[in-house]
Amino acid sequence: MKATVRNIINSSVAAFHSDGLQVFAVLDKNLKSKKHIVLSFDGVKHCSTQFLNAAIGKLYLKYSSKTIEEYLSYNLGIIPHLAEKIKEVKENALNAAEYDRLIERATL
Amino acid sequence: MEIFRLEDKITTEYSGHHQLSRFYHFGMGLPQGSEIQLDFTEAEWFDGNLCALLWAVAYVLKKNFGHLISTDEIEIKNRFDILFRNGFLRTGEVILDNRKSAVPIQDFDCSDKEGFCKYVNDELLSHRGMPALGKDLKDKIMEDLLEVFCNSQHHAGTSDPIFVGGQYYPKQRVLKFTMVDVGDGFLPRVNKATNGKIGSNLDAILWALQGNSTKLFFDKCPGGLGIKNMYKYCKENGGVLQIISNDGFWSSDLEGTIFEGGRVLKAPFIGITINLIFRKDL
Repeated sequence: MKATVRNIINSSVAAFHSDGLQVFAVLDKNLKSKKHIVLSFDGVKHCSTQFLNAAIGKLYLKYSSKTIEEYLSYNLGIIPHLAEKIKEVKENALNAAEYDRLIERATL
Repeated sequence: MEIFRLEDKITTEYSGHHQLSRFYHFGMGLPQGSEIQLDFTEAEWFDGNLCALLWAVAYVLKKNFGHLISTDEIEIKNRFDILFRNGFLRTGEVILDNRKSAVPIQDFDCSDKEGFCKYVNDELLSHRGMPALGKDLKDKIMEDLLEVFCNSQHHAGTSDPIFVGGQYYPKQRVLKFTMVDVGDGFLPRVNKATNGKIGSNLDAILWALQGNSTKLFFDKCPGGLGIKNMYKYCKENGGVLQIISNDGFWSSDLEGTIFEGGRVLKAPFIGITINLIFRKDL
């Protein structure tokens, strides 16, 4: 299955947290049912890490890296440095997940 | 009619912000629906980019207090024509920016991400005062500014517009760009997210600059990378980043001075103001 960011958010600028959550909902549904999905950035001109954090980073708080990498792949379109940014967002999310776990343990 | 006098130089530093936030407090102290004349006769200089902040102050004074703000057009035309050339003040006649030094003053609905991107691309990144940026660096600055715009939209807790504008100073070969939101500022969210550990506006700014984010706490979503990336760009390219949030005034060029860590504004304005100073010669 293919999910096109531009069609989901109805804009060529993927920027807001709320934009990211719309994409997250589509990806989450597919990962839950273990269906492979290609996330396409075709037609997107600008993309913020706020969007990526909500769309992709949030997945890493819910699923293992292994599951995400098995069922999610990307068509990066024309946005410069997007692969690099997704990598950064992933690392940031994994740190956040670890941070969250530490806080939970500390407050038990 | 009440008169507020601007004095000396209103520049993109602590003293300039102090004067404009004093204007805000002056307006707050007046009865609802007052008329205020903003008097420029004692002013020697006004940084054009700070029109974004002046507009934000005037907007809040009108919206929250119903004040009507006016100024002496002839005085300004004679001595501060930049306020016309950048579109902050308008008359019936068309005033061209013949020096090509202004980055137009505009307000953006906080949901107008497409309009904001177009403005940054057409008016800022293509401006003659910007450093010769490769496509990569241009893209990075665009993404970082978009990030700041998104943060304002997401965190400000308001649907008020975001005010932007810039000015190129050919003698100093620097371009100053200002973005203002009139929301809650950093502290309320940071204070909550840190269980009260961060208790001042300056500490909240420093916390955000380190790449920390309130997103995990409020939105169950990772955050960060926005303002931190902008700071990194400024550090690497001889630029300056200033962040003003309520009474906290932080500037990267204060590092190594007695004001490293920031200064406290005695009469704070609301929201967050970000000033970026680009050097034309990298």
